[in-house]
Amino acid sequence: MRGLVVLPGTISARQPRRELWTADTHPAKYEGTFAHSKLPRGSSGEPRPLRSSRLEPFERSSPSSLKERSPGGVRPAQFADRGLGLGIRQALCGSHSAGINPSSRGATLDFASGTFGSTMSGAPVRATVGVRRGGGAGPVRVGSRAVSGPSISRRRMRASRLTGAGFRSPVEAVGWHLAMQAQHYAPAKWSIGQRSVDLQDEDVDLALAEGSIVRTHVLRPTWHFVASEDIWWLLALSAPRVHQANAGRYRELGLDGRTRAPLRTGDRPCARGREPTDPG
Amino acid sequence: MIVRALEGGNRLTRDELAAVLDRARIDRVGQRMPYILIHCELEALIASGGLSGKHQTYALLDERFPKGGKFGGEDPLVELTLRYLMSHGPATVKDVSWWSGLTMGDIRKALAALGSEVEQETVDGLTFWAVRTDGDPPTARGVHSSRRTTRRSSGTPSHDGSATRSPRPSLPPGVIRAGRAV
Repeated sequence: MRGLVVLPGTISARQPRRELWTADTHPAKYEGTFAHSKLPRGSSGEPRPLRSSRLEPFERSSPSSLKERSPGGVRPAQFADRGLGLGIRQALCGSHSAGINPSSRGATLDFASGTFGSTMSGAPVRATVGVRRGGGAGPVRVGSRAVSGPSISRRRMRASRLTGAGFRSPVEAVGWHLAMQAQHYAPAKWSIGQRSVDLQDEDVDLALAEGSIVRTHVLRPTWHFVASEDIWWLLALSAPRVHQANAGRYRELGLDGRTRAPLRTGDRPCARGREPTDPG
Repeated sequence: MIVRALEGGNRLTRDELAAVLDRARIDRVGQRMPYILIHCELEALIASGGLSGKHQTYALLDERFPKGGKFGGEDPLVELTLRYLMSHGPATVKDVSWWSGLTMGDIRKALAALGSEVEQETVDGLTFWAVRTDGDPPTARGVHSSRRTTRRSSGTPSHDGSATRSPRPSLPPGVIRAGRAV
C-alpha cells in the first residue's frame, strides 16, 4: 500500500489544511483507491468490487465530459459496477492524466477473459487484471529470446509510479511525466496524489501558485500540468501541432489572423523569440 | 490586449479577462473565449497564474517563468521521447505520437537518434519501446534524468499464479467490445 497517510505533526507548522487522500479524512475515497490490501475479500480472494460511490471526485467533477473522455466512453463507475478490480481501475482512471492509457481510440478491454490491453494499437496485450495478484507475466519476447517478465501494463504502472516508490512533491511527479493531462483540475490533482506520498490537496494549489508547475495547453488541445522548467521548450516543440489541430475550430469561430493579432499585443516584440504561428 | 492587462504581475480570472475582451470589443461569445485563451497559451503568452479563491487565473508566461530553464542543446524531440518512455513506457510509436501530438515519423526519428538507449520488444505483434535498463546506465539527460531509476523489475513470482484466477463476472455479450460500448 502506498504511504499516503499524513503523520500528525508533519502539518502542524502550517495552517490547518484539508488532508486529501488520507484514510482518516476520506475513508471512502481512500478505501477504493489505495487500500487494496485492506479491502475485504470475497470467498474467491477477489478484492471487493469498488462501488461507484467511491468514485465521487470523478462524479462530482463532470460526469458528462468524463464520459466522453473515458476509454471507450465508459465511465469509471461503470467499470466498478461490473466488478472489476483495482488494477484496471488504476490503470484507467489513475493514469488518464498521465497518458498511460491514451485509449480514446484504441484501448482494448476484454472483460470476459479478464485481460486488458493499453495500447493505441488495437490488438490486445494480454495482462491480468489486478495489481498485486499473480499473473501478468506472460512470456515477453525480447529480440528472439522469450523471457518471462512483468507484463507491459505492470511495467507501465510502475514507470508511472502507480506502484513502487511514490513522488514527494507535485513538481517531481509532473516533471517525471513531462506533462500530465489536467483538463479537470480536481481529478488531475488526484492523479498526482495517487502517485505520491505525504501530499495534500493544497500542495498542488501551492505548486501552481508559486510556479513550480504550470497548467496550460500543450501537446494536445487540452490542459496539461508541466514543470515550469520544461514549459518553454515543450511549447516551442508542440504549439505548432496543437494550432494545427485547432485550425478547424479557429476557422469555425472566425478567429482569423486579424482577430488574433490584437490579442497578441501589446505586442511586446521581445517577449518571444519566434514569430507567432498562424495556422489558419 | 490580454497581454497588456496581465502585465506587471497581474493575475486575472477568466471572467476578468472576458471583461478585458469586452472593453476591446472582441467578440467572445460561445467557444470564442476559450479558443482565444488557448491560442494565447500556445503562443507562449499566458499560462496558469494559480488560484484566486476558487478560480484559476492567467498570468504572463514570460513574467512567471524566465525563458530558458535548464534545458538546452539537446534535440527536444529526442528529450520528449526519452522522457515519455521513462515515465510511461514500454510504449508503441503510436502511443508516443498520440500523447505528444507529434507525428509517428517524428517519433521514429527520435528513437533512431536514441539508439542503444532504448530497446524494443514485440508482444502480440506490437512493437514496444522502453528505455534500456541493463548494462551501463545511459547518459544523463534532461532535468529529471537523475531520477531515472525505473528498472524493469525482474518479475515478482506470483503467489497464486494465473491458474487460480477466478472467472470474471460475465457480461451480456456485445455490451463492450474493444473498449467501446456498443
